[in-house]
Formats: sequence, C-alpha cells, structure tokens
Amino acid sequence: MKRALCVALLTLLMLCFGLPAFSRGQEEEILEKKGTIKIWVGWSLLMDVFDKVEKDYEAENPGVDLEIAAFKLRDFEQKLAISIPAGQAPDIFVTSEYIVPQYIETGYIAKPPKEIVSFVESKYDKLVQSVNRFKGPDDVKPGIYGIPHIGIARVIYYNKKIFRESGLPDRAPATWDEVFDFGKKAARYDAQGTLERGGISLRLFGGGSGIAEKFTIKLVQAGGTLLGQTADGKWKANYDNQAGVDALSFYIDCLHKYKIDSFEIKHDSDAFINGQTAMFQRELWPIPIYKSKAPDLEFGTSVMPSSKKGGTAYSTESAFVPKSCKNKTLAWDVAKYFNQPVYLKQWFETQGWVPPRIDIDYSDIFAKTPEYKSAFQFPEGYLLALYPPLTPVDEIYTKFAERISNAFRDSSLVDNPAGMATILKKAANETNQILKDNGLFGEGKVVKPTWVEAPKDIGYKF
Amino acid sequence: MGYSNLQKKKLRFVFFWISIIFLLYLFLRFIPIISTFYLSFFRWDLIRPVKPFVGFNNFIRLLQDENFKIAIWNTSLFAFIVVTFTLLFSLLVALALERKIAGGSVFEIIFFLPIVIPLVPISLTWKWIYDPTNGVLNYLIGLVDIPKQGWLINPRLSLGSIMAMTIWQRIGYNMIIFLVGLREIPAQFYEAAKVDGAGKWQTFISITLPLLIPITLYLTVMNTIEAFRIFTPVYVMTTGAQGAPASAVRVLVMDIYQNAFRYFNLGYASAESLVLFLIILLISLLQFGVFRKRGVLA
Repeated sequence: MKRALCVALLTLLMLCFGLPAFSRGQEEEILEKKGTIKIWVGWSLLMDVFDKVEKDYEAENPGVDLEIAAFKLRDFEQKLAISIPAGQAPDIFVTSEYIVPQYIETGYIAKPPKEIVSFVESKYDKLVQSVNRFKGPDDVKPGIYGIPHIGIARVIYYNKKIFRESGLPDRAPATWDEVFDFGKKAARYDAQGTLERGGISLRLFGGGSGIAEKFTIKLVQAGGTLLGQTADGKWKANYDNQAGVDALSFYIDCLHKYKIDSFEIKHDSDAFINGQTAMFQRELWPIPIYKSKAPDLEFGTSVMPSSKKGGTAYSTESAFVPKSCKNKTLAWDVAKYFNQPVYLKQWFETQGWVPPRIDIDYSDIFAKTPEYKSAFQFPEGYLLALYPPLTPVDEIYTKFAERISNAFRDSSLVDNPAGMATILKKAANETNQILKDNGLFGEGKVVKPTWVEAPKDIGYKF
Repeated sequence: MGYSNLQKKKLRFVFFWISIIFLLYLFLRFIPIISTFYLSFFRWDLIRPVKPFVGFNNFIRLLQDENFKIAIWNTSLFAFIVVTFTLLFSLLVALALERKIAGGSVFEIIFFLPIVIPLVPISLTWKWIYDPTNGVLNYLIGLVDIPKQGWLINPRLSLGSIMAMTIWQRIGYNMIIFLVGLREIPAQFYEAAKVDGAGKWQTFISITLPLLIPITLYLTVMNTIEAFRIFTPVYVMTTGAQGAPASAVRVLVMDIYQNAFRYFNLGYASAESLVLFLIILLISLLQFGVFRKRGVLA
C-alpha cells in the first residue's frame, strides 16, 4: 500500500513539474538557433541581397550557418523535383505558385506554424494571399503554406524618345488599336523593306513556357484564359473560342498585317535597351538594369492596353519549408528574417523584385522610380490572369507555347479566323489530353476562368 | 596443370582491375539501360509516389504524339543532311591537305580544333554569330546587300543554322580519318593508273574512292549515330527569349530531355529512349551487314 502511494505521489510530482519542464526543454530546443539552413532560389538576381541576409543573420546568430544557392530557373526546378521526393531538399526554397502545388498535394511540404500564417495574413497584400492558398493531402480547405516573396503583374514599356520622334503622345497605347497605330508610326524599315526597329516586341520564340505566359496577357484582354474550371471543379482548355482567335490575331496582325514585329530582329528587353523596339511587355526587373546600364534610355511603363477587357498576367514566388527539414522552426525564422522590410526594399529598389508586404513604406522608392507604380495601380475591372495551381501546368504551357509559336509564322492566318480556330482547336485537344492523363479534365462548359479582378487598392501606400 | 604462385598473383591482379572496370560499367551503363527498359512500362512520375504499371501504353501514346513525330522527322532530316555534307566537305578538305601543301599541318590543326572544344562554348559562340542584330554573319551578308536574317529565331532557318554549325564542328575529325585513309592507299596504285593514262578524275573515281569505302562506311555510321544523339547545341540555342523556337528544332534527345526533366514523365521518356536505342541499333546492324557483304568484316 505504502509502495503504491509512493508511486502515485511520484507520478503526480512528475506530472506537476516534469511535464512543464519537459515541454520547456522542448521549447528551448525548438527555439535554439543552431545548425545549418540551406536555401535554394531560382533567380540569381536575388543573390546580392541574399549575401547580405546571410552575413547579417549569421552575425546575429553565431550558431547558425546559412547556405544560400541560386540556380538557373529550369535547373532549379529539376533540382527540386529530384531532391524533394528523395528527402534531400533544402530547408527553404523560393518558388512560384504553379510549381509548388504538386509538392503540396503529395504531402512533401510542411505547414507553417500559426504565427507565420497570421504574419502573412496581416502583412501581405490581398492578391498575393489569394493566389497562395493550397490544399494538402489532409486539408479540408486551401490554406497558406509559405511566406510570399514577390507578387508581380506584367506591364508595358514604351520608349519615350522613339515616341517623340514618331509624333506619338508621351503615354503607352491604351487599346489594341492604339498598339497597331503607335507601332506602325514607331516602326522603321531599311531600303529593302526589312524591319529595323520594331513597333512592339512580342514574345515569339525561345524554348519554354514564356511564349504561352505572354500570350495569356492578350488572351485575358480578349476575354479568355488558357485554362478554366468546369462545374465539377475540374479543368479544361479555355482558348479554343473567340477570345483565343482574337488573341492570336493580335500577334498575326502585328507580324504579317502591320509588320511592326518580325522574326528577323532582336527581341524583348535586349531589343528595348538598344532602341530596336518601341514597346514590349515584361515584369519590373528590367527597370533597375535600364537605370544603371542605360541611364540615357527614356522610357515609361503603364498598365497593359486593353481590348474587350483590361488585364495582364500575375504570378508570385514564396518561401516554402519541406517536411524533410530537420529544424523547421529555425527555417521559418530565417524565412521571416529575409522578408524583413530592410531586405525587401533593397530587392525592390535594386532588382525590381516586387515585395508583397503592404506594411512597409515604399514611397521613397516610388518617388525615385515612378515606373514601378504601374504594377500596383490597376484601373477598375482590370483582370489578372493567374497560373492555375495544377501539377502539369508547365507541360500545358510549354506545349501550347510550341503550337502557338508555329502559328505565329503563318501569314495565311491574316484575317483568317477559321484557320486560327483550327489551330487553337488542335492545341486545345492536346491541353485537354494532358489534363485527362492527370485526371484533371472536366466535361462541360468552363464556369470559372483563371483570372481575378484586381482590387482597386491592393494595400500599397504611394 | 596448376598455376604457379606468380601466375596466380598476376591473375588476381588482372581480375581485380578488370572487376573494377566491370563494376563501373555495370553501375554506370548496364543498370541504367535495364532501368530505362523497366521504367518504360510504368507511368513513372518523378514527383508522385504512386507509379502504376501501364504496359505498352507509353509506346502507344508515342505513336499519337505529334511532338515525337516532329522530333523523329527533324532528327532524321538533321542526320541525313549533316552526315552527307560533313562527309563531303571532310573528304574535300582531306584531299586538299593530302597534297602536302605548305603549312598543311597547320591547316590540319585549325580544322581539327573545333572537335576538341566543348560543345557548349561552341554553341554559345555560334549563337552570337547568328545574332540578328549584332551577329557577324548578318554583317557579312550585309556587305553583299543580302537582308539580315533571324538565323536562329526564324523557324524556317533555325534547324538549318544548327546543322551548319554541326557540320563545321565535325569536319575536322572526319577529315583526319579520311586523311589517314588517303595516306594508306599504296602509291603504286596511282603510278599504275598514271601508266594506264588515267586522268585525275578517273583515278579518283576508280582508285581513291573504292579504297576509301571502308572508312566512309565507318564514318557514315558513326556520324549518323552522333547525329541522332544531337542535343547540346539544340538545348543551348533554344534557351532564353532570343533562342530558337523549340518546335522548329525539336530533336529526339531534346524531346526525351523535356519529357523526363521538364515534365518529369520518366516512364514516357524511357519509352522514347528505347525507340532511339532501337533506331541506333538498327543503324549499327546495317553497318555490320554492309561491312560483311563487302568483305570488310570476316
């Protein structure tokens, strides 16, 4: 009896003192800032600021070693695909909302602690929050899985000097008709009639999904999206319709009808910085490059010209922690650390890497670089085309890009909506087949396109 | 008859080192090849944990895959043109250098240099040469009033541009082999032809060419296999916004790479690799067949 009483007393004592001590000990262990945290990113332009993050964090936390590596985007995606399922992933990786769903769906990504979720919900803009909600294998509804690091809308760039020389106003075209009109006036041809300076530089070639991403900008302006959701919550191609034909005819008209772009000249940002095109569309990252490398380049940016609707493409990058991470609390601490105002403002100012935190005053940066504003201030009813959160989205975009790239060179498509519809139908069959192969294809009409209406005020102070 | 201790020691030494090579070959070649065969019968997604057996489904899908058909066509066209022109130009260069001209060995080195330079820097250099605005090639054709061309970015020109680069790169190696063949032809054959009153062309057709057939066959097969495995220049030249349109330069290995490491469909890519393996095997068998028929092989 005495012995039983002793055991009971001892157990009670253990419960009273032992458990709190145990949990305290656990807490201390969790919060202990010791060890190595590996971070992988797919954008080398982030490294200058990340080097500073590494130095500062290690100075503040002598027991922690940060190993930060940047890879070329496609190499980075491959490294993730191999390392995450093998349990060899880095402790933190920064990737986009269209790459991460496949890892979340298969249960490879850790859920952030409540403190991180409330941090994101209280300090980040509405758009980036709405795009970054995912459903894991045990989730009832989609939730926050990472700390957003960028939320970027594409804008149109125009060369002010070329516009002035061509008798054009000091503003970007507001409609497609104005794009053609401004483009025709700004384009220059040599004696043989070859385009020397483009009116606009469209994304016509190059491997990868970039062609499709840029095409979605025209598609959303024409009232379509690349994919849409059916009533059963599944997906199907949403471009084998009038919107698709209109978007394709925009390209065909620029290339073959008005000849304001061609396959014979340099394209994109490289062409713009050299004055070889009057306009092009991109994210904000070329702006600091132009400011530093071509200070004499007079340029402006604007929201995209509209057709039936106004709109552009929008995408995000966030920091995620995989389940294989040994010290998740430390990893989240580091992820939160590099999302501090001091670093986000540096990324924004020096790299055009748009921070999605709205509790920071960026007015000094906007005052210095007003060209940044067009990615934050949207007209009423402006639509943002989103990447659908689907595993095979890259395959869908890349294969569509190849088909559409082939169509661009076909001059017989000028004023030929039937020809364009045939091409789009074939492409849509391929898109739908990929969806079927992945069990994602939905029958019936598209009821929900992959766009969101941009809030008039997404929370930034200018 | 037993082995002496020394012989046993020597044998152990030989077997030890051979077994290392054998194991390396086993792990680096044989097992991956067998794994490729195995994976081709599964829907083997790199990321998804479930990898169901699909039988011949991947092969059936290949037959309906337009990208695969484009890749087969582009690769065959690439192989045919590259092999034909590489051999032709290499032979011409070898014939010119065989004449023992002054500084001939310097020319041999110059022609051979591209083969020792890795393909990535070569491809990047040619990407600059082909640049539509600042490229040397457009500058040169501009001197004779030919309009600027989008050598890589115009889908009509892009595959041809990569072919031209590949031909240029391979001439050196083929030229050296032809040169060896030419120098091996006994001088008395030419002397006899001269005595018989044969002209240069007749000598070339009746003596040089027939005696070069074994070497030509060897080079044809090796170049064809290499051409079917083309990847690096295509990959380098399609990267980025100024790169070639992928469909215009889609070749088999590029398609395999894309399916495996872009879309992570390793099962499907394995089936495609198996088809490429069969194509190359067929070419190799053809080589042996022709060699045997001509008595080159015993």
